[in-house]
Amino acid sequence: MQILRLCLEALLLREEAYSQMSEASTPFLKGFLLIIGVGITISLVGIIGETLEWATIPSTEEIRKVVLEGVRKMPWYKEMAAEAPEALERLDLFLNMIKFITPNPWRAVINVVTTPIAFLISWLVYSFLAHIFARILGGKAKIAQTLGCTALAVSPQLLKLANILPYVEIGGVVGAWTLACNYLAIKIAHRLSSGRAFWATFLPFIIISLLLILLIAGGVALAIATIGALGGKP
Amino acid sequence: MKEFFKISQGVLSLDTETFVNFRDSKDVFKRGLTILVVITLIAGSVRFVLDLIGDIMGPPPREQLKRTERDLERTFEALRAFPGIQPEVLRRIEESAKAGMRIGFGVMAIPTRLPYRVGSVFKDVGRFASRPFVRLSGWMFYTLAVLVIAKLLGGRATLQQMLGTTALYSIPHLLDILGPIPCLGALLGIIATVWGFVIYVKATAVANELSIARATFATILPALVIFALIGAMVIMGILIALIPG
Repeated sequence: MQILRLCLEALLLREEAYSQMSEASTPFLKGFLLIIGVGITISLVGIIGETLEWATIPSTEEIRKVVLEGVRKMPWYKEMAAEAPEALERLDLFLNMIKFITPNPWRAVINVVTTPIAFLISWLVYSFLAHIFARILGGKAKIAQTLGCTALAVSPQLLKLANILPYVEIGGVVGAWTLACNYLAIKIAHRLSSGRAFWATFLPFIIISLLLILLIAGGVALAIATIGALGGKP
Repeated sequence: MKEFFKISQGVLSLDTETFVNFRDSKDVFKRGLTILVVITLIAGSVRFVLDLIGDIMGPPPREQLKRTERDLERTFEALRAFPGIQPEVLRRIEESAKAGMRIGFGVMAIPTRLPYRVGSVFKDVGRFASRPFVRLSGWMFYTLAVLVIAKLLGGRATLQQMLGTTALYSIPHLLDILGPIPCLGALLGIIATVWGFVIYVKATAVANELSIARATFATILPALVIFALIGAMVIMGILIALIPG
């Protein structure tokens, strides 16, 4: 219960919550449990909203049938079928892919496992990098304190409890709010000035973004090289 | 409630003391956040009720299709009166539009696990409940950017003071409640936006203890950067499209 109270106070950007976590006896364990708990809770709630949404949309197979039938009745269909038959194949392929973006209760069930894992990975990677930068900038906290405080930045994810209602869009507020919480977490755990805390909060994002860009560029280059080696034209 | 009216009155009249008291109040972020969320919900309430009534009492998809087809025919009838539009081209556009519309209504008419009207009500509720999140997203990202600029200009606000005080910009948006009224709604929307902007600048100035000129610069700069980036991307896109081959 105490951890839940801390989480809500952290959401409201109350500095006492971050100080308490920093001075707690086992900040890493508390942070770990908080992240798992929030991840599982929002995923369970998400199942309800996703199921209700799924129950109010037609089956994707029916949608595909109606659209293809409608396209065949279009005035330009015959011309298109003769001149560009591949366009109709692409349309069919696109309609088959709709099922991957429409609501699906089973996918929501899988999220109960994948969401906490994703939260844990991003928390560990971000906190580790933020800790290094904070220490370089004169920070005083131990790694366990950094991890405990930055775990409180998972609190904006609680906004996703609104997903108990179908068709609710949370938007980018979780990202901005998490950023604000991380800033306070680093500032208070490491007792840094506003300017130094800002850089310690942002530099990990810049590093992660650069790594992702490099990874994507490397993947694309590898794919092009593989296609070339197999004798195809890239 | 009484306190809210007092704050609103002071904020709308740009009373510096109201802004200072609000900035220095305990839990300024929570207070600002509450005002922003409540106002956004109140402002969207009339639209929500109208949408709800429309969806509960409105005609079924088949009837909607007939009505829309009739409207479309009238539009094309009017277009035929214009000289210079080739009748064959117009006929083809009309046929395609009608066929596209039939696909849309055909999808709407497919039976769902829950009745069609339940789905419509869910969508209305979802849209209404999403309003505060949409507003919060824009406001929070933008305010964090303004805070960075304000700090570079010598600003002294804490994160909580900046977010809490600038949330007051939402108060004139109570006028959005009249949004569904044709013409007047749009006019009031413009007034609310301009008034909200002025309050935002004042809030930034008070929270950071900056002059109005510096606060205006800090408020406008992120928008200018965003526009410049969009402009640069558009120009780059055009240049890439113009490169032959």
